[in-house]
Amino acid sequence: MTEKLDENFIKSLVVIALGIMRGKGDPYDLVNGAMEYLISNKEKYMDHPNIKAIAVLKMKGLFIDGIRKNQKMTSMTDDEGNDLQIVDEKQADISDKISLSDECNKVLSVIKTMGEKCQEVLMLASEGMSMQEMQEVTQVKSLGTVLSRLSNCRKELKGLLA
Amino acid sequence: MIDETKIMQYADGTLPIEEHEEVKRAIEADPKLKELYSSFQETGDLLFKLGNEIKSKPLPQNLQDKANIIKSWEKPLVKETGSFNFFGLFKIQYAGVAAAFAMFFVGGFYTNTFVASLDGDNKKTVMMATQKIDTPKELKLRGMPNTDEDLSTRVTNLYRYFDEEQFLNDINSRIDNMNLNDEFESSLEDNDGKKVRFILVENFNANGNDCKKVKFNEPLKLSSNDQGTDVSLDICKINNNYEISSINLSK
Repeated sequence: MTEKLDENFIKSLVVIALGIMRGKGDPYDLVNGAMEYLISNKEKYMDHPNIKAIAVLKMKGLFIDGIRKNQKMTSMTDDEGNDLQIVDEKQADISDKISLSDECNKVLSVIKTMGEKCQEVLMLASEGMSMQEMQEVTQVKSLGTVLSRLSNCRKELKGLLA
Repeated sequence: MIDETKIMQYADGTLPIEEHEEVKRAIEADPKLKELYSSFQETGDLLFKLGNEIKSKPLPQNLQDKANIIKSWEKPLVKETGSFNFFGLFKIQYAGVAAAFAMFFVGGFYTNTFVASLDGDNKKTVMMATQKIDTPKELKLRGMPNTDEDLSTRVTNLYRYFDEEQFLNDINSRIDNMNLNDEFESSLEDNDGKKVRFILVENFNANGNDCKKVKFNEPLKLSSNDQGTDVSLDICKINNNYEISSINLSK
């Protein structure tokens, strides 16, 4: 996939970063870190067919690194792959920086209460990614797993919004 | 039993078109599936609005600076002159190019890409254009690729050569008088000057709005290796006028 590299590319990363951060930090910082990485590795990535996937994976890495450095958690999942709650309520949230409509604020707030995998996949969907792209950035082996995860998370979202 | 993911894909407009009929019948026959379908439509719209709203906010200066840096990485998508036979689709008169990598359009952004113009001798030249493009904020592009092909290229090229305003002007004046499978000729023209024709294939209701699905009467060639893409448009009546709510591509 050939990305058009401009501010819209970065804005799409902000949406995805929200799903990665799970309301526990500033997504702009995460995007900034990924962009610094891409820019400093321009020769390596400027011709990459899916530079967005590179950026997303870098953001995930940066997030995990940040968590470990802060000694909040060494992993986002336990040995059985279940979500672990990450506690770091003091960090800034995007809602402090941008004003969203009441409807979107509510949706975002609800998403932030959901599990790690749901937050990620819902924000990827919100960004507008196709299933194939979601599979690539979530590194899930089968497309069917991505589909069922998104389906289940959307049903959960609907229930929580009711 | 229909897989719930099929219902979700149908609600999102990403289900392969050959599976539409089966899923549609299942939804109509089962109130629970109908409820699930509505639920997926609702969450789809909410997620779409959320993403668009976040993307509509200006970037902090440090990220804007980085956007300016990566813009310079862009290379020409195509640079050809002379007998540039661009897909035999529309007469080139519209530069409605969107950030199709996301498959969703965001209203009112700047694009820096190529547009093609029609020469007097019916040959096309490609030139660079930087201009503000206003695309509908609510317009959704939903793709349904079956392979790992570059959907975004097809989406980009479709919208590059599709005059949405002209299409809506054409269709608003006649769509309510059409029956299913009726075909109508638009004022859009392909490169050979042939009028582009559309077929009304479905009437449906979405979020309380009267909607219709119209499709191009023949597959479109939307990229250099495209063997033919079926393109349909969902249009919904809002404030007495039909607006495009989604564009569906399938092979």
